[in-house]
Amino acid sequence: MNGTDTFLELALGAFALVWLGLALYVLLTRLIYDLGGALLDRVRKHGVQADLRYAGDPEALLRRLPRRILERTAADPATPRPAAALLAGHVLERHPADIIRLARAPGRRRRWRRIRALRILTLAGWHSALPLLEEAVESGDEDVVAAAVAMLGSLGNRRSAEVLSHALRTQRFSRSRIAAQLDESRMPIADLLLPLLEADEQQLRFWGATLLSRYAGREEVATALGQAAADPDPSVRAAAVESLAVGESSAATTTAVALVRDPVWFVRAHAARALRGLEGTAAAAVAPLLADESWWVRAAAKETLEACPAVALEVLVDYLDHVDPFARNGAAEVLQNTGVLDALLSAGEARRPPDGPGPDTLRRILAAGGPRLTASAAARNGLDGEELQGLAASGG
Amino acid sequence: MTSKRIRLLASGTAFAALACATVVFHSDLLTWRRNTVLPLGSVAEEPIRVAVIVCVVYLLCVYSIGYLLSLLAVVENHSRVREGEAEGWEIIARSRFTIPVSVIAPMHNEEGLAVRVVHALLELQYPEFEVIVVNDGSTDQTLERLTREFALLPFDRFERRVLPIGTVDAVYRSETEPRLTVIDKVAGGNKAEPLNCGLNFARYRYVCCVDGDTIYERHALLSSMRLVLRDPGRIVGLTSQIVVATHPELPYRRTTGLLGSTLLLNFQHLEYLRSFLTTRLAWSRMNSVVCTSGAFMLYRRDALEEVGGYSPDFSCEDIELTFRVHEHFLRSERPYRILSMPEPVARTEGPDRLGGLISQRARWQRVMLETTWHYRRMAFNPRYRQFGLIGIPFCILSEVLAPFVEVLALTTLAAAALFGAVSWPEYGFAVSLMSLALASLSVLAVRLEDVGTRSYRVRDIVWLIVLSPLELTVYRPFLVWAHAQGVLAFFRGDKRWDRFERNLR
Repeated sequence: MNGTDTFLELALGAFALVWLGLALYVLLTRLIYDLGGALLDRVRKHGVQADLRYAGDPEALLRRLPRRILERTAADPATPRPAAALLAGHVLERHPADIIRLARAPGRRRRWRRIRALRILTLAGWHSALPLLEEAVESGDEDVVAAAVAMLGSLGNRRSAEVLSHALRTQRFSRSRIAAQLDESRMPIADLLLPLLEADEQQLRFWGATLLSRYAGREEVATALGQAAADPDPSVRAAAVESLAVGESSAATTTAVALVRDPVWFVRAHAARALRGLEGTAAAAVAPLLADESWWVRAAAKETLEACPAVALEVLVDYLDHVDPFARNGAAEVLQNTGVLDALLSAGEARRPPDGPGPDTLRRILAAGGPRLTASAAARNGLDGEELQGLAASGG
Repeated sequence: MTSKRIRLLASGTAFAALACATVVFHSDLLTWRRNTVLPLGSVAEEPIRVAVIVCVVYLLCVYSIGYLLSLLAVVENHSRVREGEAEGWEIIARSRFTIPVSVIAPMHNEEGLAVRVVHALLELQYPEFEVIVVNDGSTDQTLERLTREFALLPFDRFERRVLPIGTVDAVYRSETEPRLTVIDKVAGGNKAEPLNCGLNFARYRYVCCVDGDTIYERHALLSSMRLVLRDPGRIVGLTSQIVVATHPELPYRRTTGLLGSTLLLNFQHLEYLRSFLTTRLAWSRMNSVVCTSGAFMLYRRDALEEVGGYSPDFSCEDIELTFRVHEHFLRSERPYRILSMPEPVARTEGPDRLGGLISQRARWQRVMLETTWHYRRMAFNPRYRQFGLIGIPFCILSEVLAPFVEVLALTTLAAAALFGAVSWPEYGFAVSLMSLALASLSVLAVRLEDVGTRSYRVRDIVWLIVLSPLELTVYRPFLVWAHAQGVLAFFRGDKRWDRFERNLR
């Protein structure tokens, strides 16, 4: 056999070993996982039935499981909380020092074990879990911080809200994710959020204004939000007007009506949406936005107007002949969506003499909406499309 | 619509390997190393020798890089799986701060699956989203079936006209499902136009463009947006794993599994796994994802609009768009990321007939050539960083050059056989070697999938392992044929958007 043949055989042997080794590894790890899963299912069943007391059978089962599987399952967010708490308690009871050491472990290499240990401590309700989570938030490792933020949110107590609020200030992680946890807090935290409105950083003021929406009904919060609505930063103004609207105070209407003329388009859009549900005053203030230069503002205005169908026709009829085609389109679309157009059609307005009052409104809506809106109306109402197109084109 | 852009690590190179390895290790042929002459004569000897060297060097390059990529993919997969375990999705699933998403599903003659696809999309577990179905001039019952199922009524809506979209006939809204909008438009002849149409109607900051013949998992948006929400300022695009299934409308656990499927679909299943889990994950880690799969393209809407939306000038839209987004952000020197996730987010139907498979893969080869040719200025250009210096060159090596090397290898093999220079027992050795090299990557992909989802039945894992060494000899030759067809179509300037016929049920 020459050298090349030997090389070929060696290479083949090596790849065969790699393939076989990998195959066995895949199968074995899966079988172990399934075995652990079957045992854990029994534990979960017993654990829930036994009101989380370790007794008899579950305890015996738990002892048969490798620590790694127990830890992983306890820390897995997919594990139902009662079962996870049972497992976490068991793991902590067996290896307390090790779990606490891991929960403090620095460095990226051990970050997943650190996260797992933190979760076990949190689930088991260990007394020093919170300081360790606080330490984790300060760690600087994005994955550890993300997990710690989620765990702090799940604790839902005053101290955890304070840590989260601090993390929001120092931007230890994506602010929207921290804010989502704070927003879920069961504790009243308006006093933690109000100072954010005074922050130098505009993003903090924005999050303060956004998170305060839950407390917008309180007088001191409404006042602070009213001031924030005059913030030099547009994102803060937009957040403030939206939060104020949740409180449904008179200040909310006044602020929103003022901000529909804001120079920044997204503030106008938020102001328009804030007026949704504020009925009467809303329609008149919002209707001019149908001619706004921004499509998003026009869309927000349409949504708001559709939310007040009672006044929509009265306000919008003038916009059907507006000089701006967007305003005409928008008015027609709102009248279509609020049912005004279909009501006119089902009342037989299309067949009345064209010089009467009814057909004129109908004609103006159709003309403002254009051929596609007219064709849709005809299809919806089982009418002759060409006849309606003719009506739309007549007069005016 | 089908445009599952699956690019393989060793795409097309394996058959070349088959031929090259056979020739190079032939004892007679190897005599040139020992400065002796071949029995086949001096005229044929030199060209064969050169061809063999070219093919073997090519093969070694592709496999070496492939194995390196797999190592990176293992690290990336581990991180993604652990991230999911560490954070959980509950808060994202109910928070008002979760960024809403517009899901756009273009459909052309999808009467068989349309209703089920839309139901699956509407059942997505996500706090706020809308579903925009664009019926692109279907000539079958697609629109009628949707109308019946979702009580659609024509209500006009004035869209933003930021991208050219052709003629919209009507806009429908559902009486039963307020999140659903159906747009009926005149057929555009490609997938780009209905996607752009959906973009014009989309209201939310992120858009997820999906296929009309693919069934999505309930967690699809949550699992992908989980990562986006960490850094929405930088993450402009994301794709995730698509699974080939015989009955995509049924969850895996309610089917007979892979053993109940055909061999052809099982090979495609394995191929998709390897592509998504051992290749794209690695590119994702290097921010050099070459293709965001057309079956699940999640993009920030403003990024799509900045680059001008989907281009109808290419045979397929997804790979070209990915290149364009990379180019746009790298040229403007703005931080950005395009990610690929390991989680399976959808089940799709693969062609269950050879003709369909060959036509699909020929189209993919064609679009790869169109795109790399169009963006050739980016290759080896430091301005485009790792995408220009590593991503595109590897793409050229493994995808663009593959058909040429395959033809060269086959010709060499034929010539060597003609001159009696092939030793068939050694041929068998070489084939086994290459088969196992590819199979090891496949098994690794199975492992990555299993560790992330634990969804396979054990018997299906065993079946995939058994199949893996057969892929090179049983399945790959058809892909070689498809690649050759794709190259010819590219040189003919063919830009047809042909999709395979739906499988019979």
